Amino acid sequence: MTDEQPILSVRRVRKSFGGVHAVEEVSFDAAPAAITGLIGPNGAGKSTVINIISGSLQPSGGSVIFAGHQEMLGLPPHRRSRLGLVRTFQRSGEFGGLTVLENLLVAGTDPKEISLRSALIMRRRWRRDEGGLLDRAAEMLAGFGMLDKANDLAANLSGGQKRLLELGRALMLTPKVLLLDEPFAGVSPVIAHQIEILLKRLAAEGLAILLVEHQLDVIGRLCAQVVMMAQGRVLSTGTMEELRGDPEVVDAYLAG
Amino acid sequence: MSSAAQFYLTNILVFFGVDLIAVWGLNLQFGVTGIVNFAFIVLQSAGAYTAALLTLGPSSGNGGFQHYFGGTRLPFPLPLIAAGFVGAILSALLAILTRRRLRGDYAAMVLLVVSLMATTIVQNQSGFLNGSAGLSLVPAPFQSIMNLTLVGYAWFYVGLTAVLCLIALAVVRAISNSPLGRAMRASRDNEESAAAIGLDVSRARMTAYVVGGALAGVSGALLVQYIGTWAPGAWLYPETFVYFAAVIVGGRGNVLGVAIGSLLVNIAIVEVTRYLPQFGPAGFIDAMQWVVIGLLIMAFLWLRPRGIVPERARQYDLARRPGAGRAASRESADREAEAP
Repeated sequence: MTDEQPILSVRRVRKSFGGVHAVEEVSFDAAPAAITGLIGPNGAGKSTVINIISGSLQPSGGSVIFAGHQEMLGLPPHRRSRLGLVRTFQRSGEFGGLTVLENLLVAGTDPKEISLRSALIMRRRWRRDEGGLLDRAAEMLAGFGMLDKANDLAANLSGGQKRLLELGRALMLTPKVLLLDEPFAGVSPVIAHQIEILLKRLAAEGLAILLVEHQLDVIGRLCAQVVMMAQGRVLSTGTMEELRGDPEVVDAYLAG
Repeated sequence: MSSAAQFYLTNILVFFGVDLIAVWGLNLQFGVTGIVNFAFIVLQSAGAYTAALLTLGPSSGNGGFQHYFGGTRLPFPLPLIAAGFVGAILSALLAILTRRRLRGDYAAMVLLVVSLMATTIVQNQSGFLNGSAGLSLVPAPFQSIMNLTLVGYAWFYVGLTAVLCLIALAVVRAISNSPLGRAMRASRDNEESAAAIGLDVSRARMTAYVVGGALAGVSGALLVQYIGTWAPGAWLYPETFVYFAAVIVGGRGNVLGVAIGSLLVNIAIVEVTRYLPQFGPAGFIDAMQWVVIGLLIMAFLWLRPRGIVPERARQYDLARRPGAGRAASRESADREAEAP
């Protein structure tokens, strides 16, 4: 555990679908400048928790506190993203009809400039701001080694490149917390390595990352703190080493 | 050119202008934002009825042979502007109707039902908009004071139509190229991701509904003030699919493409078949028009789903951006740090 104040606190979150309890009384924290792992067998409720934190699912109870004091529940997903609580999806969610560059620009644009007024009357302002956005986007793409793809349609990227793009798109919002739902799924080893380096750097720069992942070796390399879920509950919390020694955890993984 | 030929040409030009404005409105909704608005023709019709009611004068006029509510006589261009507003407001109501948990296919079905209901209501409420007979003798702007020949006035109306087309073009182009247009396309391609990066999807869609509805309303007003009559037969639900065909054939999301699509589908198919010798049972050729439009939609969705002129993304030259070089050096530093 770090001494720092958590930037994201999930408290006693519950969710039931009909009579089925998908998530029961889940509580954990995510600290800034660290990667917190969220692991567990299929059906443990990891994605449900991510969906509740990001706002695409309403929980049956509990609370999600962001940045020390702000209650997130009740805010629509796009408002949470603008505050700096940004997620990516398990299935890649690129905007296929936009170019790679436009995917980044649309995420970085000041929401105030996305309006009819801005489109029809205040053209000079958004054109001016676009210069800075293009610089940031170019820097991002160069970092991914994708500068030559900038003007290609995002639909034509490889699976791994789509993952990178989605990460880059999330970063264009300069998030405080990043929720990553299996960012390594279906990614080539080269790009997986690239993503690992990127996540380490982002954490070192101060970002809080909540990482859902089932490859435990990756979790072990990246996460100081790991939350283990099974059957909708938090089973155990600690370092990956501690969890590996916990017979209950081993049992749940094998049984799950 | 004989005046008959001129009259024919001016008619086609005005109809094409009306269709262009409507198709650009639908393209903003369907092509750019991905809204399947199967009630689109109702919006055009609402504009037409609005302009008619605001130019016809009271229902007792013309010997009182037609019955409608709230007739009055406003000078041009007020009826046209009002038609745009009515189209926009009605369209906003459609947006609210389909806002929650009614997206995609379900929204399309609801909107289709709205279109059917609107026709039925107007046909059966005879005191509302004169029922199935519709409104006629709608005066054309300035015709009574301009003292032009029929053909001369038709050319004047072509000019008026052209001006409105240019305004519509300026609006749809400004939106397409702006951050708003980009947000609309993002919402179309992946709604969940759009919300995840902070885009207010509902608001982007509402804007597309409203602007598209305004354009539809204006197109209806422009048409009714030229042809002077409007009845439920002119806006049955299949008319919506003709506009959809124009957008799909021309190229969803491409302003030039849908204009070409409109020229092909709205003008060419109808005008060419007009000169085919009549054969088969009565009404055979009219029916074949629908078959051809249906086949066109299917053929394009199968073989060329992006249309004749596909949507073109804006290209940027990034090579000289300062950011590009900076990150490349940091990336190589990362690699070195990783090296054993």
